[in-house]
Amino acid sequence: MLRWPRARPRRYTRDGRLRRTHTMLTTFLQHLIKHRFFGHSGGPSSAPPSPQGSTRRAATLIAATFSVAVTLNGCCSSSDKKSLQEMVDRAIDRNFNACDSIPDPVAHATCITNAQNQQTALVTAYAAYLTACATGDTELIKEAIKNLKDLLKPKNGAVLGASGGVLNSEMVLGNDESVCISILLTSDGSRTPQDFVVVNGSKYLPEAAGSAALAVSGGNGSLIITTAVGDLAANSSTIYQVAPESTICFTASGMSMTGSVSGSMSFASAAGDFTSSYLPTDAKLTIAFAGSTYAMTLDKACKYNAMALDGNGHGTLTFRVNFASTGDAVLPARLPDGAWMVLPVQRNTTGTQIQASTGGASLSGWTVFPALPNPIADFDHNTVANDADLAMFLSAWASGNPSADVNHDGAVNALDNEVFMDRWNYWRQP
Amino acid sequence: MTRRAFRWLTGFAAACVVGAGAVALPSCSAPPMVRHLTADQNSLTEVGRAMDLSELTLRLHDRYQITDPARWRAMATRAGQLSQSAGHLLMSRATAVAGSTSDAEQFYSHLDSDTAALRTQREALAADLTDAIPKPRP
Repeated sequence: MLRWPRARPRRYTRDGRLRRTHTMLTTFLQHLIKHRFFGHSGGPSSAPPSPQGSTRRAATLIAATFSVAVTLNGCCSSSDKKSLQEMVDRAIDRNFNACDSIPDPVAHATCITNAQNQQTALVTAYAAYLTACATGDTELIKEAIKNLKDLLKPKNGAVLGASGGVLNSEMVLGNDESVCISILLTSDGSRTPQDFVVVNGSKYLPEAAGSAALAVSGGNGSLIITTAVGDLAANSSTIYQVAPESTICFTASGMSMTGSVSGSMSFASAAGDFTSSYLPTDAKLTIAFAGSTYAMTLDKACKYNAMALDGNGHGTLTFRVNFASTGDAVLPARLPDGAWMVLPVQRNTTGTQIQASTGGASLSGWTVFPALPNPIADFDHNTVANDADLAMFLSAWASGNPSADVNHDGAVNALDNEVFMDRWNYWRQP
Repeated sequence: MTRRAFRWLTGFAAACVVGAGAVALPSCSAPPMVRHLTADQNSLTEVGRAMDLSELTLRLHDRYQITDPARWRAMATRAGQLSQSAGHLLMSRATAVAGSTSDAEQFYSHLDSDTAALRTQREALAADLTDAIPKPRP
Protein backbone atom coordinates (compact mmCIF):
# COMPACT_ATOMS: atom_id res chain seq x y z
CA MET A 1 0.00 0.00 0.00
CA LEU A 2 1.45 3.33 -1.03
CA ARG A 3 1.45 5.81 1.79
CA TRP A 4 2.74 9.29 2.10
CA PRO A 5 6.09 9.40 3.86
CA ARG A 6 5.73 10.20 7.51
CA ALA A 7 7.02 13.65 8.36
CA ARG A 8 8.27 12.94 11.83
CA PRO A 9 10.07 9.68 12.36
CA ARG A 10 13.57 11.02 12.06
CA ARG A 11 13.04 13.81 14.53
CA TYR A 12 11.22 12.03 17.32
CA THR A 13 11.83 8.96 19.37
CA ARG A 14 9.16 6.27 19.63
CA ASP A 15 7.76 7.79 22.77
CA GLY A 16 7.45 11.17 21.07
CA ARG A 17 10.45 12.94 22.58
CA LEU A 18 12.55 15.14 20.34
CA ARG A 19 15.75 13.41 19.39
CA ARG A 20 18.07 16.42 19.54
CA THR A 21 21.41 14.93 18.62
CA HIS A 22 19.93 12.94 15.82
CA THR A 23 18.01 15.95 14.58
CA MET A 24 21.13 18.09 14.45
CA LEU A 25 23.10 15.37 12.75
CA THR A 26 20.32 14.72 10.28
CA THR A 27 19.96 18.40 9.50
CA PHE A 28 23.68 18.67 8.90
CA LEU A 29 23.68 15.63 6.63
CA GLN A 30 20.64 16.93 4.77
CA HIS A 31 22.45 20.20 4.26
CA LEU A 32 25.46 18.40 2.85
CA ILE A 33 23.31 16.32 0.52
CA LYS A 34 21.19 19.27 -0.51
CA HIS A 35 24.26 21.19 -1.53
CA ARG A 36 25.73 18.13 -3.24
CA PHE A 37 28.78 17.81 -1.05
CA PHE A 38 28.20 14.08 -1.36
CA GLY A 39 27.28 14.30 -5.02
CA HIS A 40 24.09 12.30 -4.43
CA SER A 41 21.72 14.40 -6.43
CA GLY A 42 22.07 12.55 -9.65
CA GLY A 43 24.72 14.87 -11.03
CA PRO A 44 27.81 13.77 -12.89
CA SER A 45 29.84 13.51 -9.73
CA SER A 46 27.60 10.76 -8.47
CA ALA A 47 28.10 8.52 -11.48
CA PRO A 48 29.88 5.25 -10.92
CA PRO A 49 32.77 4.25 -13.12
CA SER A 50 31.15 4.02 -16.52
CA PRO A 51 30.87 0.47 -17.78
CA GLN A 52 33.03 -0.02 -20.79
CA GLY A 53 31.06 0.49 -23.96
CA SER A 54 27.84 1.45 -22.23
CA THR A 55 25.45 3.80 -23.95
CA ARG A 56 24.25 7.13 -22.69
CA ARG A 57 20.95 5.49 -21.67
CA ALA A 58 22.70 2.91 -19.56
CA ALA A 59 25.01 5.48 -18.03
CA THR A 60 22.07 7.72 -17.22
CA LEU A 61 20.13 4.88 -15.63
CA ILE A 62 23.06 3.64 -13.63
CA ALA A 63 23.95 7.15 -12.51
CA ALA A 64 20.38 7.70 -11.44
CA THR A 65 20.19 4.53 -9.40
CA PHE A 66 23.72 4.88 -8.04
CA SER A 67 22.79 8.27 -6.71
CA VAL A 68 20.70 6.62 -4.03
CA ALA A 69 23.55 4.53 -2.73
CA VAL A 70 23.79 6.31 0.59
CA THR A 71 20.53 6.81 2.39
CA LEU A 72 19.32 8.07 5.67
CA ASN A 73 17.05 5.39 7.03
CA GLY A 74 13.52 6.22 8.04
CA CYS A 75 12.57 8.80 5.39
CA CYS A 76 10.24 6.58 3.41
CA SER A 77 9.15 3.18 4.58
CA SER A 78 10.49 0.06 2.93
CA SER A 79 6.97 -1.05 2.07
CA ASP A 80 6.39 2.22 0.20
CA LYS A 81 9.53 1.70 -1.81
CA LYS A 82 8.73 -1.92 -2.59
CA SER A 83 5.16 -1.05 -3.52
CA LEU A 84 6.36 1.63 -5.93
CA GLN A 85 9.00 -0.67 -7.32
CA GLU A 86 6.34 -3.30 -8.09
CA MET A 87 4.20 -0.71 -9.85
CA VAL A 88 7.14 0.47 -11.94
CA ASP A 89 8.11 -3.10 -12.77
CA ARG A 90 4.55 -3.85 -13.89
CA ALA A 91 4.42 -0.71 -16.01
CA ILE A 92 7.71 -1.62 -17.68
CA ASP A 93 6.46 -5.14 -18.42
CA ARG A 94 3.17 -3.79 -19.76
CA ASN A 95 4.96 -1.44 -22.15
CA PHE A 96 7.15 -4.20 -23.54
CA ASN A 97 4.33 -6.75 -23.71
CA ALA A 98 2.20 -4.31 -25.72
CA CYS A 99 4.71 -4.70 -28.58
CA ASP A 100 4.07 -8.43 -28.96
CA SER A 101 0.90 -8.00 -30.99
CA ILE A 102 2.36 -5.63 -33.59
CA PRO A 103 2.97 -7.54 -36.84
CA ASP A 104 4.83 -4.90 -38.79
CA PRO A 105 8.57 -5.38 -38.08
CA VAL A 106 9.46 -1.69 -38.20
CA ALA A 107 6.55 -0.69 -35.99
CA HIS A 108 7.40 -3.56 -33.65
CA ALA A 109 10.98 -2.33 -33.25
CA THR A 110 9.73 1.23 -32.79
CA CYS A 111 7.41 0.01 -30.05
CA ILE A 112 10.31 -1.69 -28.27
CA THR A 113 12.38 1.48 -28.55
CA ASN A 114 9.48 3.43 -27.07
CA ALA A 115 9.20 0.88 -24.25
CA GLN A 116 12.91 1.34 -23.58
CA ASN A 117 12.45 5.10 -23.43
CA GLN A 118 9.55 4.67 -21.03
CA GLN A 119 11.68 2.31 -18.96
CA THR A 120 14.42 4.93 -18.79
CA ALA A 121 11.93 7.56 -17.67
CA LEU A 122 10.38 5.25 -15.06
CA VAL A 123 13.67 4.03 -13.59
CA THR A 124 15.02 7.56 -13.48
CA ALA A 125 11.87 8.85 -11.78
CA TYR A 126 12.00 5.99 -9.28
CA ALA A 127 15.65 6.75 -8.54
CA ALA A 128 14.71 10.40 -8.05
CA TYR A 129 12.10 9.30 -5.51
CA LEU A 130 14.66 7.23 -3.61
CA THR A 131 17.09 10.13 -3.69
CA ALA A 132 14.38 12.42 -2.35
CA CYS A 133 13.76 9.90 0.42
CA ALA A 134 17.45 10.04 1.25
CA THR A 135 17.37 13.81 1.59
CA GLY A 136 14.29 13.71 3.79
CA ASP A 137 12.91 16.80 2.10
CA THR A 138 9.13 16.37 2.15
CA GLU A 139 8.59 18.68 -0.81
CA LEU A 140 11.15 16.81 -2.87
CA ILE A 141 9.54 13.50 -1.97
CA LYS A 142 6.08 14.74 -2.92
CA GLU A 143 7.39 16.08 -6.21
CA ALA A 144 9.19 12.83 -6.98
CA ILE A 145 6.08 10.75 -6.24
CA LYS A 146 3.98 13.06 -8.39
CA ASN A 147 6.38 12.62 -11.30
CA LEU A 148 6.31 8.87 -10.85
CA LYS A 149 2.53 8.77 -10.73
CA ASP A 150 2.32 10.79 -13.93
CA LEU A 151 4.42 8.16 -15.63
CA LEU A 152 2.38 5.37 -14.08
CA LYS A 153 -0.98 6.78 -15.14
CA PRO A 154 -3.11 4.38 -17.14
CA LYS A 155 -2.48 4.57 -20.82
CA ASN A 156 -5.93 3.46 -21.72
CA GLY A 157 -8.82 2.19 -19.77
CA ALA A 158 -11.53 0.49 -21.73
CA VAL A 159 -14.52 0.08 -19.48
CA LEU A 160 -15.84 -3.43 -19.37
CA GLY A 161 -19.50 -4.01 -19.87
CA ALA A 162 -22.44 -1.89 -18.88
CA SER A 163 -26.04 -2.51 -18.04
CA GLY A 164 -27.85 0.21 -19.88
CA GLY A 165 -26.73 3.73 -20.55
CA VAL A 166 -23.99 4.80 -22.85
CA LEU A 167 -20.84 2.77 -22.83
CA ASN A 168 -17.83 4.94 -22.77
CA SER A 169 -14.12 4.55 -22.62
CA GLU A 170 -11.34 6.72 -21.51
CA MET A 171 -8.17 6.91 -23.49
CA VAL A 172 -5.46 8.67 -21.55
CA LEU A 173 -2.17 9.39 -23.22
CA GLY A 174 1.01 10.01 -21.27
CA ASN A 175 2.68 13.38 -20.81
CA ASP A 176 4.99 12.86 -23.74
CA GLU A 177 2.32 11.45 -26.04
CA SER A 178 0.08 13.30 -28.43
CA VAL A 179 -2.18 12.87 -31.43
CA CYS A 180 -2.41 14.89 -34.61
CA ILE A 181 -5.30 14.56 -37.02
CA SER A 182 -5.91 16.03 -40.44
CA ILE A 183 -9.03 14.69 -42.11
CA LEU A 184 -10.59 16.52 -45.06
CA LEU A 185 -14.18 15.59 -45.85
CA THR A 186 -15.60 16.58 -49.22
CA SER A 187 -19.16 16.27 -50.48
CA ASP A 188 -20.64 16.31 -53.95
CA GLY A 189 -23.92 17.39 -52.40
CA SER A 190 -25.60 13.99 -52.61
CA ARG A 191 -28.06 13.35 -49.80
CA THR A 192 -29.76 10.28 -48.42
CA PRO A 193 -33.08 10.01 -46.58
CA GLN A 194 -32.60 9.48 -42.86
CA ASP A 195 -35.08 8.31 -40.22
CA PHE A 196 -34.99 10.11 -36.88
CA VAL A 197 -36.70 9.89 -33.54
CA VAL A 198 -37.35 13.30 -32.05
CA VAL A 199 -37.20 13.41 -28.25
CA ASN A 200 -38.33 16.71 -26.77
CA GLY A 201 -37.47 18.56 -29.97
CA SER A 202 -34.03 17.09 -30.59
CA LYS A 203 -33.31 14.58 -33.30
CA TYR A 204 -31.64 11.31 -32.46
CA LEU A 205 -30.74 8.35 -34.57
CA PRO A 206 -33.17 5.48 -33.79
CA GLU A 207 -30.34 3.55 -32.09
CA ALA A 208 -29.77 6.39 -29.59
CA ALA A 209 -33.38 7.39 -29.04
CA GLY A 210 -33.94 4.89 -26.25
CA SER A 211 -31.20 6.21 -24.02
CA ALA A 212 -32.19 9.81 -24.81
CA ALA A 213 -35.77 9.09 -23.77
CA LEU A 214 -34.55 7.33 -20.63
CA ALA A 215 -32.41 10.33 -19.73
CA VAL A 216 -35.34 12.70 -20.12
CA SER A 217 -37.74 10.50 -18.15
CA GLY A 218 -35.07 9.92 -15.50
CA GLY A 219 -34.93 13.67 -14.96
CA ASN A 220 -38.70 13.69 -14.38
CA GLY A 221 -39.18 16.06 -17.29
CA SER A 222 -42.05 15.91 -19.72
CA LEU A 223 -41.35 13.45 -22.50
CA ILE A 224 -42.50 14.10 -26.04
CA ILE A 225 -41.45 11.58 -28.65
CA THR A 226 -42.21 11.83 -32.33
CA THR A 227 -40.71 10.20 -35.38
CA ALA A 228 -39.33 11.82 -38.47
CA VAL A 229 -39.48 9.25 -41.19
CA GLY A 230 -36.87 9.46 -43.92
CA ASP A 231 -37.74 12.10 -46.43
CA LEU A 232 -35.22 13.54 -48.84
CA ALA A 233 -36.73 16.99 -48.60
CA ALA A 234 -37.10 17.25 -44.82
CA ASN A 235 -34.86 14.65 -43.22
CA SER A 236 -31.66 13.75 -44.95
CA SER A 237 -27.98 13.45 -44.34
CA THR A 238 -25.14 14.57 -46.53
CA ILE A 239 -22.37 12.15 -47.38
CA TYR A 240 -18.76 13.35 -47.17
CA GLN A 241 -15.86 11.33 -48.57
CA VAL A 242 -12.48 11.41 -46.87
CA ALA A 243 -9.89 13.05 -49.11
CA PRO A 244 -6.81 10.91 -49.91
CA GLU A 245 -4.33 13.23 -48.18
CA SER A 246 -5.99 12.72 -44.79
CA THR A 247 -3.67 11.50 -42.03
CA ILE A 248 -3.60 10.66 -38.37
CA CYS A 249 -0.41 10.54 -36.32
CA PHE A 250 0.60 9.34 -32.90
CA THR A 251 3.68 10.67 -31.11
CA ALA A 252 5.30 9.03 -28.11
CA SER A 253 8.66 9.71 -26.48
CA GLY A 254 9.64 11.99 -29.34
CA MET A 255 8.94 9.39 -32.00
CA SER A 256 6.04 9.85 -34.38
CA MET A 257 4.07 7.36 -36.45
CA THR A 258 1.71 8.47 -39.20
CA GLY A 259 -1.16 6.57 -40.79
CA SER A 260 -3.52 7.33 -43.65
CA VAL A 261 -7.30 7.63 -43.39
CA SER A 262 -9.97 6.74 -45.94
CA GLY A 263 -13.74 6.24 -45.90
CA SER A 264 -16.78 8.45 -45.47
CA MET A 265 -18.89 10.31 -42.93
CA SER A 266 -22.46 11.62 -43.04
CA PHE A 267 -24.10 14.51 -41.22
CA ALA A 268 -27.66 15.75 -40.85
CA SER A 269 -29.20 18.74 -39.15
CA ALA A 270 -29.64 17.73 -35.55
CA ALA A 271 -32.66 19.71 -34.47
CA GLY A 272 -36.08 20.19 -35.94
CA ASP A 273 -35.20 23.62 -37.18
CA PHE A 274 -32.09 24.01 -39.30
CA THR A 275 -29.50 25.52 -36.97
CA SER A 276 -25.74 25.28 -36.85
CA SER A 277 -25.99 22.05 -34.86
CA TYR A 278 -25.53 18.85 -36.81
CA LEU A 279 -25.74 15.17 -36.10
CA PRO A 280 -23.18 12.68 -37.36
CA THR A 281 -25.35 9.94 -38.88
CA ASP A 282 -22.66 7.58 -40.05
CA ALA A 283 -18.88 7.19 -40.11
CA LYS A 284 -16.93 4.40 -41.72
CA LEU A 285 -13.25 5.25 -41.65
CA THR A 286 -10.31 2.99 -42.32
CA ILE A 287 -6.97 3.82 -40.73
CA ALA A 288 -3.88 2.27 -42.27
CA PHE A 289 -1.27 2.29 -39.55
CA ALA A 290 2.02 0.48 -39.15
CA GLY A 291 1.33 -2.12 -41.80
CA SER A 292 -2.16 -3.00 -40.70
CA THR A 293 -5.65 -1.55 -41.02
CA TYR A 294 -8.20 -0.59 -38.38
CA ALA A 295 -11.84 0.41 -38.74
CA MET A 296 -13.18 3.46 -36.93
CA THR A 297 -16.97 3.51 -37.07
CA LEU A 298 -19.57 5.78 -35.52
CA ASP A 299 -21.33 4.47 -32.42
CA LYS A 300 -24.84 5.37 -33.49
CA ALA A 301 -26.25 4.46 -30.09
CA CYS A 302 -24.43 7.33 -28.42
CA LYS A 303 -26.84 10.18 -27.82
CA TYR A 304 -24.07 12.72 -27.35
CA ASN A 305 -22.81 12.62 -30.94
CA ALA A 306 -22.90 16.14 -32.37
CA MET A 307 -21.15 18.69 -34.54
CA ALA A 308 -21.61 22.30 -33.45
CA LEU A 309 -20.48 25.15 -35.68
CA ASP A 310 -20.48 28.90 -35.21
CA GLY A 311 -21.44 31.47 -37.84
CA ASN A 312 -18.01 31.26 -39.44
CA GLY A 313 -18.15 27.49 -39.76
CA HIS A 314 -15.73 26.84 -36.89
CA GLY A 315 -16.65 24.35 -34.20
CA THR A 316 -16.18 20.91 -32.76
CA LEU A 317 -17.12 17.41 -33.80
CA THR A 318 -17.86 15.27 -30.76
CA PHE A 319 -18.68 11.65 -31.28
CA ARG A 320 -18.09 8.20 -29.96
CA VAL A 321 -16.34 5.74 -32.23
CA ASN A 322 -15.72 2.02 -32.13
CA PHE A 323 -12.35 0.64 -33.13
CA ALA A 324 -11.80 -2.77 -34.68
CA SER A 325 -8.94 -4.42 -36.44
CA THR A 326 -9.55 -5.21 -40.10
CA GLY A 327 -6.05 -6.41 -40.88
CA ASP A 328 -3.75 -9.13 -39.60
CA ALA A 329 -2.93 -7.35 -36.35
CA VAL A 330 -5.08 -7.36 -33.26
CA LEU A 331 -6.19 -4.02 -31.90
CA PRO A 332 -3.18 -2.34 -30.24
CA ALA A 333 -3.28 -2.62 -26.48
CA ARG A 334 -3.19 1.17 -26.25
CA LEU A 335 -6.38 1.56 -28.26
CA PRO A 336 -9.67 0.82 -26.50
CA ASP A 337 -12.59 -0.83 -28.31
CA GLY A 338 -14.35 2.49 -28.27
CA ALA A 339 -13.54 6.07 -27.38
CA TRP A 340 -15.14 9.45 -27.11
CA MET A 341 -13.44 11.93 -29.42
CA VAL A 342 -13.56 15.71 -29.67
CA LEU A 343 -12.06 17.18 -32.83
CA PRO A 344 -11.84 20.81 -33.93
CA VAL A 345 -13.58 21.22 -37.31
CA GLN A 346 -14.12 23.90 -39.90
CA ARG A 347 -16.72 23.94 -42.67
CA ASN A 348 -16.26 25.97 -45.84
CA THR A 349 -18.78 28.60 -46.89
CA THR A 350 -20.53 26.36 -49.41
CA GLY A 351 -20.78 23.49 -46.94
CA THR A 352 -19.07 21.08 -49.34
CA GLN A 353 -15.95 20.60 -47.24
CA ILE A 354 -15.39 19.87 -43.56
CA GLN A 355 -11.85 19.87 -42.24
CA ALA A 356 -11.29 17.98 -39.00
CA SER A 357 -7.79 19.00 -38.10
CA THR A 358 -5.51 19.83 -35.23
CA GLY A 359 -4.02 22.49 -37.49
CA GLY A 360 -0.57 20.97 -37.81
CA ALA A 361 -0.16 20.85 -34.04
CA SER A 362 -0.34 17.80 -31.85
CA LEU A 363 -3.06 17.57 -29.25
CA SER A 364 -2.81 15.77 -25.95
CA GLY A 365 -4.83 12.66 -25.31
CA TRP A 366 -7.15 14.50 -22.94
CA THR A 367 -8.01 17.01 -25.66
CA VAL A 368 -8.80 14.47 -28.34
CA PHE A 369 -10.17 11.71 -26.12
CA PRO A 370 -11.98 13.30 -23.20
CA ALA A 371 -14.68 11.14 -21.70
CA LEU A 372 -18.33 12.06 -21.33
CA PRO A 373 -19.56 10.95 -18.94
CA ASN A 374 -16.24 9.87 -17.55
CA PRO A 375 -16.35 6.07 -17.31
CA ILE A 376 -14.19 5.99 -14.19
CA ALA A 377 -16.26 8.57 -12.33
CA ASP A 378 -19.47 6.98 -13.63
CA PHE A 379 -18.60 3.76 -11.82
CA ASP A 380 -22.09 2.22 -12.06
CA HIS A 381 -22.40 3.12 -15.76
CA ASN A 382 -25.74 4.85 -15.50
CA THR A 383 -24.40 7.93 -17.38
CA VAL A 384 -24.49 10.06 -14.25
CA ALA A 385 -21.50 10.57 -11.94
CA ASN A 386 -22.90 11.08 -8.47
CA ASP A 387 -22.72 9.90 -4.85
CA ALA A 388 -23.94 6.44 -5.83
CA ASP A 389 -20.76 5.97 -7.89
CA LEU A 390 -18.60 7.01 -4.96
CA ALA A 391 -20.34 4.59 -2.62
CA MET A 392 -20.12 1.74 -5.10
CA PHE A 393 -16.45 2.38 -5.83
CA LEU A 394 -15.44 2.64 -2.17
CA SER A 395 -17.24 -0.59 -1.43
CA ALA A 396 -15.53 -2.38 -4.30
CA TRP A 397 -12.16 -0.84 -3.44
CA ALA A 398 -12.36 -1.75 0.23
CA SER A 399 -13.12 -5.36 -0.61
CA GLY A 400 -10.38 -5.52 -3.24
CA ASN A 401 -12.89 -6.24 -5.99
CA PRO A 402 -11.16 -6.29 -9.42
CA SER A 403 -13.72 -3.79 -10.73
CA ALA A 404 -12.02 -1.20 -8.49
CA ASP A 405 -8.80 -1.56 -10.50
CA VAL A 406 -9.74 1.54 -12.45
CA ASN A 407 -6.23 2.17 -13.76
CA HIS A 408 -6.01 -1.39 -15.05
CA ASP A 409 -2.56 -2.07 -13.65
CA GLY A 410 -3.57 -5.43 -12.24
CA ALA A 411 -3.79 -4.38 -8.61
CA VAL A 412 -6.40 -2.68 -6.45
CA ASN A 413 -4.40 -0.14 -4.47
CA ALA A 414 -4.10 3.50 -3.46
CA LEU A 415 -3.44 4.58 -7.04
CA ASP A 416 -6.93 3.37 -8.03
CA ASN A 417 -8.45 5.37 -5.20
CA GLU A 418 -6.54 8.43 -6.31
CA VAL A 419 -7.49 8.04 -9.98
CA PHE A 420 -11.14 7.51 -9.09
CA MET A 421 -11.30 10.48 -6.73
CA ASP A 422 -9.56 12.67 -9.28
CA ARG A 423 -12.14 11.82 -11.97
CA TRP A 424 -15.11 11.78 -9.63
CA ASN A 425 -14.33 15.16 -8.09
CA TYR A 426 -14.11 16.65 -11.56
CA TRP A 427 -17.11 14.96 -13.14
CA ARG A 428 -19.60 14.46 -10.33
CA GLN A 429 -23.00 16.00 -10.79
CA PRO A 430 -25.14 17.49 -8.02
CA MET B 1 54.55 10.42 37.49
CA THR B 2 53.66 14.03 37.98
CA ARG B 3 50.10 15.20 37.76
CA ARG B 4 50.98 17.21 34.68
CA ALA B 5 52.49 14.24 32.93
CA PHE B 6 49.49 12.09 33.91
CA ARG B 7 47.09 14.62 32.40
CA TRP B 8 49.15 14.78 29.24
CA LEU B 9 49.23 11.00 28.91
CA THR B 10 45.50 10.75 29.56
CA GLY B 11 44.85 13.28 26.79
CA PHE B 12 47.18 11.41 24.47
CA ALA B 13 45.42 8.13 25.22
CA ALA B 14 42.03 9.69 24.56
CA ALA B 15 43.28 11.09 21.28
CA CYS B 16 44.57 7.63 20.32
CA VAL B 17 41.20 6.06 21.08
CA VAL B 18 39.38 8.65 18.98
CA GLY B 19 41.90 8.27 16.18
CA ALA B 20 41.68 4.48 16.23
CA GLY B 21 37.91 4.74 16.20
CA ALA B 22 38.01 7.03 13.22
CA VAL B 23 40.18 4.53 11.37
CA ALA B 24 38.13 1.51 12.40
CA LEU B 25 34.66 3.05 11.96
CA PRO B 26 34.44 2.97 8.18
CA SER B 27 35.20 -0.73 7.98
CA CYS B 28 32.71 -1.55 10.76
CA SER B 29 29.88 0.58 9.38
CA ALA B 30 30.58 0.13 5.68
CA PRO B 31 27.25 -0.22 3.87
CA PRO B 32 26.48 -3.50 2.08
CA MET B 33 27.14 -1.88 -1.25
CA VAL B 34 30.74 -1.20 -0.24
CA ARG B 35 31.21 -4.66 1.24
CA HIS B 36 29.98 -6.17 -2.03
CA LEU B 37 31.68 -3.61 -4.19
CA THR B 38 33.03 -6.05 -6.75
CA ALA B 39 29.69 -7.77 -7.28
CA ASP B 40 27.99 -4.40 -7.41
CA GLN B 41 30.36 -3.04 -10.03
CA ASN B 42 30.15 -6.24 -12.05
CA SER B 43 26.38 -6.08 -12.12
CA LEU B 44 26.34 -2.42 -13.16
CA THR B 45 28.87 -3.13 -15.88
CA GLU B 46 26.72 -6.03 -17.09
CA VAL B 47 23.62 -3.85 -17.08
CA GLY B 48 25.48 -1.29 -19.16
CA ARG B 49 26.59 -3.93 -21.65
CA ALA B 50 23.09 -5.40 -21.85
CA MET B 51 21.53 -2.04 -22.63
CA ASP B 52 24.30 -1.32 -25.09
CA LEU B 53 23.65 -4.54 -26.97
CA SER B 54 19.90 -4.01 -26.84
CA GLU B 55 20.23 -0.64 -28.55
CA LEU B 56 22.75 -1.97 -31.03
CA THR B 57 20.36 -4.78 -31.95
CA LEU B 58 17.53 -2.34 -32.63
CA ARG B 59 19.82 -0.17 -34.76
CA LEU B 60 20.95 -3.18 -36.75
CA HIS B 61 17.31 -4.25 -37.02
CA ASP B 62 16.54 -1.03 -38.89
CA ARG B 63 19.28 -1.82 -41.33
CA TYR B 64 18.96 -5.54 -41.88
CA GLN B 65 15.37 -6.52 -41.08
CA ILE B 66 14.52 -6.45 -44.76
CA THR B 67 16.85 -9.42 -45.31
CA ASP B 68 14.96 -11.74 -42.95
CA PRO B 69 11.98 -10.03 -41.25
CA ALA B 70 10.98 -13.00 -39.07
CA ARG B 71 14.47 -13.56 -37.73
CA TRP B 72 15.05 -9.87 -37.02
CA ARG B 73 11.66 -9.54 -35.41
CA ALA B 74 12.63 -12.26 -32.96
CA MET B 75 15.94 -10.48 -32.45
CA ALA B 76 14.17 -7.19 -31.65
CA THR B 77 11.92 -9.00 -29.17
CA ARG B 78 14.95 -10.46 -27.44
CA ALA B 79 16.57 -7.03 -27.38
CA GLY B 80 13.49 -5.78 -25.55
CA GLN B 81 13.63 -8.69 -23.12
CA LEU B 82 17.32 -8.05 -22.46
CA SER B 83 16.63 -4.39 -21.77
CA GLN B 84 13.73 -5.40 -19.54
CA SER B 85 15.92 -7.78 -17.51
CA ALA B 86 18.59 -5.11 -17.10
CA GLY B 87 15.96 -2.59 -16.02
CA HIS B 88 14.54 -4.96 -13.42
CA LEU B 89 18.00 -5.61 -12.02
CA LEU B 90 18.61 -1.87 -11.72
CA MET B 91 15.24 -1.36 -10.02
CA SER B 92 15.90 -4.16 -7.53
CA ARG B 93 19.32 -2.76 -6.77
CA ALA B 94 17.99 0.75 -6.24
CA THR B 95 15.35 -0.49 -3.80
CA ALA B 96 17.82 -2.72 -2.00
CA VAL B 97 20.53 -0.13 -1.42
CA ALA B 98 17.94 2.44 -0.36
CA GLY B 99 16.37 0.03 2.11
CA SER B 100 17.51 -1.72 5.23
CA THR B 101 20.81 -3.53 5.56
CA SER B 102 19.04 -6.89 5.57
CA ASP B 103 17.21 -6.02 2.32
CA ALA B 104 20.52 -5.06 0.75
CA GLU B 105 22.23 -8.21 2.01
CA GLN B 106 19.42 -10.32 0.59
CA PHE B 107 19.79 -8.59 -2.77
CA TYR B 108 23.56 -9.03 -2.80
CA SER B 109 23.26 -12.68 -1.80
CA HIS B 110 21.92 -13.56 -5.24
CA LEU B 111 23.40 -10.71 -7.24
CA ASP B 112 26.17 -12.86 -8.69
CA SER B 113 23.69 -15.36 -10.10
CA ASP B 114 21.44 -12.57 -11.41
CA THR B 115 24.42 -10.96 -13.10
CA ALA B 116 25.44 -14.29 -14.58
CA ALA B 117 21.92 -14.85 -15.93
CA LEU B 118 21.94 -11.41 -17.53
CA ARG B 119 25.37 -12.11 -19.00
CA THR B 120 24.16 -15.41 -20.46
CA GLN B 121 21.14 -13.70 -21.98
CA ARG B 122 23.36 -10.98 -23.48
CA GLU B 123 25.96 -13.35 -24.83
CA ALA B 124 23.30 -15.54 -26.47
CA LEU B 125 21.80 -12.51 -28.20
CA ALA B 126 25.26 -11.26 -29.19
CA ALA B 127 26.09 -14.64 -30.74
CA ASP B 128 22.86 -14.75 -32.74
CA LEU B 129 23.31 -11.12 -33.72
CA THR B 130 26.78 -11.86 -35.08
CA ASP B 131 25.34 -14.79 -36.98
CA ALA B 132 22.45 -12.75 -38.41
CA ILE B 133 24.53 -9.93 -39.83
CA PRO B 134 25.18 -10.61 -43.51
CA LYS B 135 28.83 -11.48 -44.12
CA PRO B 136 30.75 -9.87 -46.93
CA ARG B 137 31.41 -12.25 -49.79
CA PRO B 138 35.03 -13.27 -50.28
